[in-house]
Amino acid sequence: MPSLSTTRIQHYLDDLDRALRHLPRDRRQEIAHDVRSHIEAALADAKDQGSQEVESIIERLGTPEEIAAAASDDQPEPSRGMAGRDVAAIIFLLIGGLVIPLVGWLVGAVLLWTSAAWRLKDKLIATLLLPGGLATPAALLALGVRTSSSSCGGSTQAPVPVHSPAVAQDPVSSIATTCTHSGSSGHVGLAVLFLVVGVAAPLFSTWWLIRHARRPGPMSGN
Amino acid sequence: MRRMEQGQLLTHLRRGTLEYCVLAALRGGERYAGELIGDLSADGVLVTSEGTVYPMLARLRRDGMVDSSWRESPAGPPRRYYRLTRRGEVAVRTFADQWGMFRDAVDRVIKGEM
Repeated sequence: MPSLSTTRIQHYLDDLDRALRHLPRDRRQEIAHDVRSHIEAALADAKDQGSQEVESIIERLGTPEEIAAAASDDQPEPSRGMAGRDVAAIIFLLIGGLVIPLVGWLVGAVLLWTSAAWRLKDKLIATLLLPGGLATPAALLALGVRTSSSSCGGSTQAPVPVHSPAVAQDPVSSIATTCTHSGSSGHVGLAVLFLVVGVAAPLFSTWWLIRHARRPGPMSGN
Repeated sequence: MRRMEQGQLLTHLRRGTLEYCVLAALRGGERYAGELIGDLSADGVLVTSEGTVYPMLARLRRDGMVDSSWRESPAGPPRRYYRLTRRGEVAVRTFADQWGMFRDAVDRVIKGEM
């Protein structure tokens, strides 16, 4: 191939690369590769590889700006107008378990997995973070409260030195003292951590689903 | 109503229909991208810049409407061939029905028969 034509082609491809800069890398590379192959194949088919042929091929391709504009049209739009069932999926996943234990969340999971609005990756994230939704940390909280209150209750029933002046004068604080000492601070810290993660994970999943919902339909991004 | 230049008007009309035209062009069987694009751009109405079809084909691939495969070519570099998927067939069939209705309705109004 004459070097002048090669330079011209390279200039065009460089311009195209610049025009596609705003796209995600994989899409940019894909389009650049397709256009490059197009030029190479068109030249192979052409009667010669002279600069006039090259010019003609490039002219028919259109400007890098036009191609980049076509590529931008295809960018997924933010999820406006999610289908009703997709909104329901998100709600059930998040708080369904609070209303009807287990079943509530399962309804959300079924709606999620049968939805056309999300990819496999989105569905996996929303299912694993967190199974049960907000019901799970709520259940942990209730369990934790019951555990600590029963140990508190147990402690107050344990024999307390009758002659200890502090206990006799202040039963409330003695229960409080007993309660905090019945669980090690390590357990409390761990419980708080589980609680925070347990609440953050479903909230994160909810945000993720909202952010990555695609409008359903034969052609998305229309 | 905003007044549009002729070029802009065609662009707006193409949006939403061109991708179905690409699918319809594949109904006859698998085709090499360059040939498909050459056909569509022959009359200069549907496609004016051939390069703009590539992002569209990429999206159709992502949406599962078409499949593509690279084939070795005797003279030159490997070429990408496209074929319609089942999903794409259904989509273009649906479009064909709707388009017929739409085109007839517009024609009636334009010709003053409504």
